[in-house]
Amino acid sequence: MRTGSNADQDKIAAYIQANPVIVVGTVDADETPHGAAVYGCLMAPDTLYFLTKTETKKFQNILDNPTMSLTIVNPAENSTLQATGTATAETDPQTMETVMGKLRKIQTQGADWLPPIAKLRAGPYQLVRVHLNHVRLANYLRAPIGDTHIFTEE
Amino acid sequence: MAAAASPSRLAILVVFFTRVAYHKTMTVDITQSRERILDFLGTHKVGVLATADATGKPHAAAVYVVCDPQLVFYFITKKATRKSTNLSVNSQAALAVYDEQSQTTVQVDGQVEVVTDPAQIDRIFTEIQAIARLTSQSGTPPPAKLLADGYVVYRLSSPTARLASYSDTPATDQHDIFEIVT
Repeated sequence: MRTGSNADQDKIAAYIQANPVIVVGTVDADETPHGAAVYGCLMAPDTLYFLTKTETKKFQNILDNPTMSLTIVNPAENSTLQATGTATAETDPQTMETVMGKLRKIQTQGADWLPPIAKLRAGPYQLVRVHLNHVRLANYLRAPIGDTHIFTEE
Repeated sequence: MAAAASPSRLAILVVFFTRVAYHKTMTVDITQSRERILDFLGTHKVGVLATADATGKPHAAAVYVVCDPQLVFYFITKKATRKSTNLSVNSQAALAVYDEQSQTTVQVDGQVEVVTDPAQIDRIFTEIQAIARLTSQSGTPPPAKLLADGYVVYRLSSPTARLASYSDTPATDQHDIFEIVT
């Protein structure tokens, strides 16, 4: 994975922990893009998980094309995180239990104790593992025009 | 004396009035949904735009969003950004605007085209600058800080807009989560 230095990796991990809502970009078989918000958690510098259901558009798209993009926005800080990766359905029970424990804590921080996906009738739950190929954090606040340090790495 | 309505005439009348009532209800609902979407977008002006490159690889990036009452969306970027180069080969895009606390999202997708009308470009830039001031106490939108060629203003026309409110809805009310405006 390309994320620059260890310090950059720490910054990226802290950013995802502080901003767990991620817009995942997928494309269908006709290459039409789709964007949807999910709760995500980072389990390793190159491994992120999110929970969905098998009949959601994003999961159907992943079955057609596992390449995806992930974006987090923090408007108040004028910062974003952009990542690309490859998605696979997680099937290992022990990993699922560990990840779900972490996701549960994140998801219950919202206004409602139930995560949004729990309210959708869209087939059974599916934990998705995203192997991150590239992650970059951008902070535009107070950055001068043309600043080469806006991004954690290029 | 007026002839009594036959059963078939009554059936036609019942169907007619039911359709009128249904149409009226749907019109009111769609109008209210449109207002709710516009209210949400009035206070949430940062979205994530998903595009695809020539090989079908997705890309998603944050944009400041201007929305008109007809639910036509506008955003600015620079010509050498990934989203712009993707749109030059595939004009389909999807936009998601979300609020983490209220677990609300607006999702739209459709065709994107370049805005060329100078008056409209001027209006969009003015509104984008206002968004930059509101969201980050800076009058400079993020693309202004990137060296990525000249500015370009895009318009996203979506056949439908979908508002999903998860926190207001019990888990049993599946169909109340989404409000779709066509």
